[in-house]
Amino acid sequence: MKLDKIEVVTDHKHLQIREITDSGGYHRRVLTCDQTLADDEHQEVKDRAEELWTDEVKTAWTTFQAEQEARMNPENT
Amino acid sequence: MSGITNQVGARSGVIGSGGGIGYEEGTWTPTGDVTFSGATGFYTKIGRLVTLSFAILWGSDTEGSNAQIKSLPFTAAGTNSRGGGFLSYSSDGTASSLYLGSTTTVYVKASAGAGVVTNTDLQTRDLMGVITYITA
Repeated sequence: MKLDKIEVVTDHKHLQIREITDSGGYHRRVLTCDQTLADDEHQEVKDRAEELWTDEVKTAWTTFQAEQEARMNPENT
Repeated sequence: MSGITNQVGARSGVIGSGGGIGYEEGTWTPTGDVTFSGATGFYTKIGRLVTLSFAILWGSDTEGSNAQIKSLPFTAAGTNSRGGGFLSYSSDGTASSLYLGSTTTVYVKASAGAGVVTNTDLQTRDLMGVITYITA
Protein backbone atom coordinates (compact mmCIF):
# COMPACT_ATOMS: atom_id res chain seq x y z
CA MET A 1 0.00 0.00 0.00
CA LYS A 2 1.07 3.55 -0.64
CA LEU A 3 1.60 5.87 2.32
CA ASP A 4 -0.82 8.79 2.08
CA LYS A 5 -0.69 10.58 5.42
CA ILE A 6 0.87 10.44 8.88
CA GLU A 7 -1.00 12.20 11.68
CA VAL A 8 0.53 12.61 15.15
CA VAL A 9 -2.22 12.28 17.75
CA THR A 10 -2.33 12.98 21.52
CA ASP A 11 0.56 13.56 23.93
CA HIS A 12 1.40 9.89 23.52
CA LYS A 13 2.47 10.61 19.94
CA HIS A 14 0.41 7.94 18.27
CA LEU A 15 1.12 7.77 14.56
CA GLN A 16 -2.17 7.61 12.73
CA ILE A 17 -1.38 6.19 9.32
CA ARG A 18 -3.53 6.48 6.21
CA GLU A 19 -2.56 4.39 3.21
CA ILE A 20 -4.06 3.95 -0.23
CA THR A 21 -4.82 0.41 -1.27
CA ASP A 22 -4.26 -1.07 -4.70
CA SER A 23 -7.97 -0.58 -5.39
CA GLY A 24 -7.73 3.12 -4.54
CA GLY A 25 -9.50 3.07 -1.17
CA TYR A 26 -8.17 4.13 2.19
CA HIS A 27 -6.70 1.79 4.81
CA ARG A 28 -5.95 3.07 8.31
CA ARG A 29 -4.04 1.98 11.39
CA VAL A 30 -2.60 3.57 14.51
CA LEU A 31 0.91 2.87 15.75
CA THR A 32 1.78 3.35 19.42
CA CYS A 33 5.20 3.93 20.93
CA ASP A 34 5.32 0.49 22.57
CA GLN A 35 5.21 -1.21 19.20
CA THR A 36 8.15 -2.57 17.26
CA LEU A 37 7.86 -1.43 13.69
CA ALA A 38 8.05 -4.04 10.97
CA ASP A 39 11.13 -4.18 8.78
CA ASP A 40 8.99 -3.36 5.76
CA GLU A 41 7.37 -0.35 7.41
CA HIS A 42 7.42 2.88 5.38
CA GLN A 43 10.72 4.69 5.97
CA GLU A 44 8.87 7.96 6.64
CA VAL A 45 6.93 6.25 9.42
CA LYS A 46 10.14 4.84 10.89
CA ASP A 47 11.70 8.30 10.83
CA ARG A 48 8.72 9.93 12.60
CA ALA A 49 8.72 7.19 15.23
CA GLU A 50 12.43 7.65 15.84
CA GLU A 51 11.91 11.38 16.19
CA LEU A 52 8.82 11.36 18.41
CA TRP A 53 8.90 8.22 20.51
CA THR A 54 11.25 9.45 23.22
CA ASP A 55 11.78 7.63 26.51
CA GLU A 56 9.55 10.23 28.17
CA VAL A 57 6.72 9.52 25.74
CA LYS A 58 7.13 5.76 26.15
CA THR A 59 7.05 6.03 29.95
CA ALA A 60 3.94 8.20 29.88
CA TRP A 61 2.17 5.74 27.57
CA THR A 62 3.15 2.75 29.71
CA THR A 63 1.79 4.52 32.81
CA PHE A 64 -1.44 5.45 31.03
CA GLN A 65 -1.97 1.90 29.81
CA ALA A 66 -1.37 0.46 33.28
CA GLU A 67 -3.97 2.83 34.71
CA GLN A 68 -6.50 1.80 32.09
CA GLU A 69 -5.75 -1.89 32.60
CA ALA A 70 -6.28 -1.48 36.35
CA ARG A 71 -9.69 0.03 35.67
CA MET A 72 -10.59 -3.03 33.66
CA ASN A 73 -9.59 -5.33 36.49
CA PRO A 74 -10.36 -3.36 39.69
CA GLU A 75 -10.00 -6.46 41.85
CA ASN A 76 -6.29 -6.44 41.03
CA THR A 77 -5.70 -2.91 42.31
CA MET B 1 -24.14 23.82 -0.44
CA SER B 2 -24.41 21.54 2.54
CA GLY B 3 -24.60 17.83 3.18
CA ILE B 4 -22.34 14.81 2.95
CA THR B 5 -21.16 12.98 -0.11
CA ASN B 6 -22.99 9.72 -0.55
CA GLN B 7 -21.51 8.26 -3.67
CA VAL B 8 -20.61 4.61 -3.42
CA GLY B 9 -16.91 4.26 -2.88
CA ALA B 10 -16.42 7.90 -1.91
CA ARG B 11 -13.10 8.09 -0.10
CA SER B 12 -13.38 11.48 1.49
CA GLY B 13 -14.85 14.88 1.10
CA VAL B 14 -15.76 18.05 2.86
CA ILE B 15 -19.04 19.61 1.88
CA GLY B 16 -20.07 23.08 2.79
CA SER B 17 -18.25 26.36 2.65
CA GLY B 18 -15.85 27.07 5.47
CA GLY B 19 -15.47 24.28 7.98
CA GLY B 20 -17.89 21.64 6.73
CA ILE B 21 -18.17 18.10 8.00
CA GLY B 22 -15.34 15.80 6.98
CA TYR B 23 -16.27 12.38 5.62
CA GLU B 24 -14.05 9.37 5.08
CA GLU B 25 -14.51 5.65 4.68
CA GLY B 26 -12.06 2.82 4.29
CA THR B 27 -10.73 -0.39 5.75
CA TRP B 28 -8.78 -1.40 8.86
CA THR B 29 -7.27 -4.67 10.02
CA PRO B 30 -8.01 -5.66 13.63
CA THR B 31 -5.16 -7.17 15.63
CA GLY B 32 -4.86 -8.53 19.17
CA ASP B 33 -2.39 -9.95 21.64
CA VAL B 34 -2.92 -13.26 19.89
CA THR B 35 -2.55 -13.67 16.16
CA PHE B 36 -5.98 -13.65 14.58
CA SER B 37 -6.62 -16.38 12.06
CA GLY B 38 -8.59 -13.88 10.00
CA ALA B 39 -9.61 -10.25 10.43
CA THR B 40 -11.28 -7.63 8.28
CA GLY B 41 -12.76 -4.26 9.13
CA PHE B 42 -14.44 -1.23 7.62
CA TYR B 43 -14.85 2.30 8.94
CA THR B 44 -16.91 5.37 8.20
CA LYS B 45 -15.92 8.65 9.82
CA ILE B 46 -18.17 11.70 9.81
CA GLY B 47 -16.72 14.66 11.60
CA ARG B 48 -15.07 13.28 14.75
CA LEU B 49 -17.44 10.33 15.06
CA VAL B 50 -16.21 7.05 13.60
CA THR B 51 -18.10 3.78 13.28
CA LEU B 52 -16.19 0.55 12.73
CA SER B 53 -17.42 -2.86 11.71
CA PHE B 54 -15.32 -6.00 11.83
CA ALA B 55 -15.16 -9.76 11.51
CA ILE B 56 -12.50 -11.69 13.43
CA LEU B 57 -11.57 -15.34 13.62
CA TRP B 58 -9.80 -15.42 17.00
CA GLY B 59 -6.46 -17.20 17.24
CA SER B 60 -5.38 -19.96 19.57
CA ASP B 61 -4.34 -19.07 23.10
CA THR B 62 -3.74 -20.79 26.40
CA GLU B 63 -2.35 -17.93 28.51
CA GLY B 64 -5.69 -16.39 29.40
CA SER B 65 -4.83 -12.72 29.00
CA ASN B 66 -7.56 -10.14 28.38
CA ALA B 67 -9.22 -10.31 24.98
CA GLN B 68 -8.43 -7.10 23.16
CA ILE B 69 -9.03 -5.63 19.73
CA LYS B 70 -6.27 -3.28 18.61
CA SER B 71 -5.09 -1.44 15.51
CA LEU B 72 -8.16 0.76 15.50
CA PRO B 73 -8.10 3.09 12.49
CA PHE B 74 -8.25 6.23 14.67
CA THR B 75 -7.15 7.12 18.19
CA ALA B 76 -10.10 7.66 20.52
CA ALA B 77 -10.51 11.00 22.28
CA GLY B 78 -10.61 9.20 25.61
CA THR B 79 -11.79 5.97 27.16
CA ASN B 80 -15.16 4.40 28.10
CA SER B 81 -17.32 7.55 27.99
CA ARG B 82 -16.16 8.33 24.46
CA GLY B 83 -17.53 5.20 22.84
CA GLY B 84 -18.02 1.45 22.85
CA GLY B 85 -19.68 -1.26 20.88
CA PHE B 86 -21.41 -4.60 20.67
CA LEU B 87 -21.00 -7.96 19.03
CA SER B 88 -23.58 -8.71 16.38
CA TYR B 89 -22.39 -12.33 16.27
CA SER B 90 -20.20 -14.49 18.47
CA SER B 91 -19.76 -18.21 18.07
CA ASP B 92 -18.44 -18.12 21.64
CA GLY B 93 -21.97 -17.48 22.82
CA THR B 94 -20.95 -15.50 25.88
CA ALA B 95 -19.11 -12.40 24.68
CA SER B 96 -21.37 -9.53 23.73
CA SER B 97 -20.03 -6.16 24.84
CA LEU B 98 -17.11 -4.09 23.57
CA TYR B 99 -15.52 -1.66 26.01
CA LEU B 100 -13.28 1.21 24.96
CA GLY B 101 -10.68 0.55 27.63
CA SER B 102 -7.91 2.65 26.14
CA THR B 103 -7.54 5.24 23.42
CA THR B 104 -6.32 2.55 21.05
CA THR B 105 -7.80 -0.66 22.44
CA VAL B 106 -11.24 -2.23 22.80
CA TYR B 107 -11.81 -5.02 25.34
CA VAL B 108 -14.29 -7.84 24.83
CA LYS B 109 -16.69 -8.44 27.71
CA ALA B 110 -19.41 -10.98 28.38
CA SER B 111 -21.86 -8.15 29.08
CA ALA B 112 -21.78 -4.46 29.90
CA GLY B 113 -21.47 -5.18 33.61
CA ALA B 114 -19.23 -8.23 33.40
CA GLY B 115 -15.49 -8.65 33.39
CA VAL B 116 -13.28 -8.96 30.35
CA VAL B 117 -13.25 -12.35 28.67
CA THR B 118 -9.90 -13.90 27.87
CA ASN B 119 -8.15 -14.85 24.67
CA THR B 120 -8.50 -18.45 25.78
CA ASP B 121 -12.29 -18.03 26.04
CA LEU B 122 -12.40 -16.79 22.48
CA GLN B 123 -9.84 -18.98 20.78
CA THR B 124 -10.92 -20.22 17.33
CA ARG B 125 -14.23 -18.33 17.72
CA ASP B 126 -15.85 -16.06 15.14
CA LEU B 127 -16.74 -12.55 16.24
CA MET B 128 -18.49 -9.80 14.32
CA GLY B 129 -19.41 -6.44 15.70
CA VAL B 130 -19.65 -2.67 15.60
CA ILE B 131 -17.67 -0.03 17.51
CA THR B 132 -18.44 3.69 17.63
CA TYR B 133 -16.36 6.41 19.29
CA ILE B 134 -15.27 10.01 19.17
CA THR B 135 -11.81 10.44 17.71
CA ALA B 136 -8.99 12.52 19.18
